[in-house]
Amino acid sequence: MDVLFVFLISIGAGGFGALVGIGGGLIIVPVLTLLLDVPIKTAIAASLIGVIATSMSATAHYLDAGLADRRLGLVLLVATAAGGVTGGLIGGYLDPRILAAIFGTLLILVALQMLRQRRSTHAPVPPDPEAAGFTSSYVEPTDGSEVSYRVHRLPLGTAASFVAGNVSGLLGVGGGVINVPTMNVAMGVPIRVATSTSTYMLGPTAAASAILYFAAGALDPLLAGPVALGVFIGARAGARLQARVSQGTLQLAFIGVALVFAAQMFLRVVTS
Amino acid sequence: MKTATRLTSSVLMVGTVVSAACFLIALGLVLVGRPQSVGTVDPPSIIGAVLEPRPWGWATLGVLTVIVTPALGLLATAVEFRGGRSAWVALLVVGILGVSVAVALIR
Repeated sequence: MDVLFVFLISIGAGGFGALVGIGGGLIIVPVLTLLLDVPIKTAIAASLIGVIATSMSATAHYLDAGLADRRLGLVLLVATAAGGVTGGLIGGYLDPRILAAIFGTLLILVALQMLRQRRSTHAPVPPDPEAAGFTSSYVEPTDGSEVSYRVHRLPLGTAASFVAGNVSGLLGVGGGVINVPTMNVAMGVPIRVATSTSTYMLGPTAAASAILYFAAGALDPLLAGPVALGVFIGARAGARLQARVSQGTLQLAFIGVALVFAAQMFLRVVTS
Repeated sequence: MKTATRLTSSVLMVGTVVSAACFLIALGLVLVGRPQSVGTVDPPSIIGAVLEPRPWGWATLGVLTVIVTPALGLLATAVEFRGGRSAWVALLVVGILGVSVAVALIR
């Protein structure tokens, strides 16, 4: 396999993932599997290394900027990391065709969620005054004002985090597609903090599963290296470009690509 | 009360730079035509491949750095929150990563 080609494709996947806001994993796994014929477990393991590398770099920035809520992130991390271990374990035992089918289903669900977001805006669920929670704050970088918020529905967030960890470990994607909407819509966390805190949680979560894939011999460093480097570079470039390109067009492009990938994944399940 | 984050962010940044450097060296070795043969995952084999140098050795070193860094970041967080409940939660997450290592070794 041409390592340079993998590196260049990973830059594109990381960039596109960052532009659409879903991370590189949802793109790189089908690209490696469908275009380069990499076994799906090896593609998932390589993607996990990319997820950790991207999370490490972005978290350092978010912590310095005071945007990641570590108190909340640590509590939810207990659930996501445990989910990452079980997801990695289950992923190791599952038939590759079942993994491909689950991945195809996830692609369709994310595409549908994106389509729904384009049509409506979700207002955060109002806080439950009876529910336990804690207050926190962050400094909004656009105007320097201090924004206070109250975190609530922690049990729901913990359950969703466990599911997110499982999805991450099983499919090699960041759990952000589950964590961010849960924190923002259900737990009352501002979107900027939800995104940063989710990124903070991704590294240890993906590490919990990557260890299992590595020990099982599914992690190929010569594939994971260029994937991690490429996704990392692409994600940084994508994040810089994000404000300059039309989100609507990008989301439509992703929906189209996701549906094509999903169809090919299911086709592979049927024909292999 | 705002807790210091410098130690955690420094650990994560060092991990990012070191792993990126390892991956870049591996990529460079591939481009100059060094053999892409794979070794067994044990310390002598990895060190040998790094010193030779072979792309697999440097890529494996990068992968190990990436896997270890989040745990080191959590330990740094525990130090920053020392004495508080969050420190114990950070250590609990490190414990879960330890369980993952134990499961990986047992399997």
